[in-house]
Amino acid sequence: MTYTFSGAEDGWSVGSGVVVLGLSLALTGLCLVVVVWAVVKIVTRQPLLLTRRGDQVLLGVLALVELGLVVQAVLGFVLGAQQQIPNLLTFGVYLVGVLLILPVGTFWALADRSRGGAGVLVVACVTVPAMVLRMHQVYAGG
Amino acid sequence: MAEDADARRTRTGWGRVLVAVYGVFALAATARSVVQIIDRFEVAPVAFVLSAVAAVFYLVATTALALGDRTSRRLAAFSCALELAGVLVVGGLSLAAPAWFPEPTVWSHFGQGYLFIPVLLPVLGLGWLRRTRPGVSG
Repeated sequence: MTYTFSGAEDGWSVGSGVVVLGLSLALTGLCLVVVVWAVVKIVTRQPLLLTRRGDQVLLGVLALVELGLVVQAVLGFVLGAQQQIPNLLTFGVYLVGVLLILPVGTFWALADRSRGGAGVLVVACVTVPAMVLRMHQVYAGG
Repeated sequence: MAEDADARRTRTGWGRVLVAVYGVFALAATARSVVQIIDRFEVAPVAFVLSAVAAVFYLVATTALALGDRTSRRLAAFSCALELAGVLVVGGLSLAAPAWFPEPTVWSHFGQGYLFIPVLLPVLGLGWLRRTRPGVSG
């Protein structure tokens, strides 16, 4: 049986490309919401506390973003392999590397009872969109 | 006990944010150099070896700043100083002899590709170590 790219498969890649782009934009938006939230905490001198309702919601948002990043990694690998992009290795490292930022960042942030914890979340949630942007540039051949 | 308090100080407050930024650069530099070396080492051996050296120093600085005990503080100061030297020398060379750097490294053009954070980071690291040195209050 010979394997050829049919119109339907191309349609699938184009369609899932749009889904990944939408997903990336949504994840970037959520990260920026967390950044604003964390900056407000820094300015108002409130520490990050798991006992607070607001901070529990904040962590929920972070978990949601991480879940989205996992989905993005799976779709990204499928798309990258299917399109046979030239820098698949770099692309793959970005897809997997970005998964580390939020878990490690959140752990490092929560262990601090000063404003530093919120500062760490700002760093993490600026890094994720930056890596997602680079990932799209690499995918496009940059 | 005093030793413990000093160690805590290095990684509290803004120090914690500094460690986070260092961690991001440790990840970025390590990932970049691993990809460069296994994928196309022969293209630019000088630049890629320097990338790997940068990655090691970022990893050492991140860990040492996070631990913050007396030995770690020395190690952190050492790696921050070498990073500063590295970013200045490689930054200068990348402008003077661009042929050696066909592909950018973390330190090329003084870290321009990374918003010049690579040149700021060791300065901030050394400043923070000075501010939190044992025997100085607040």
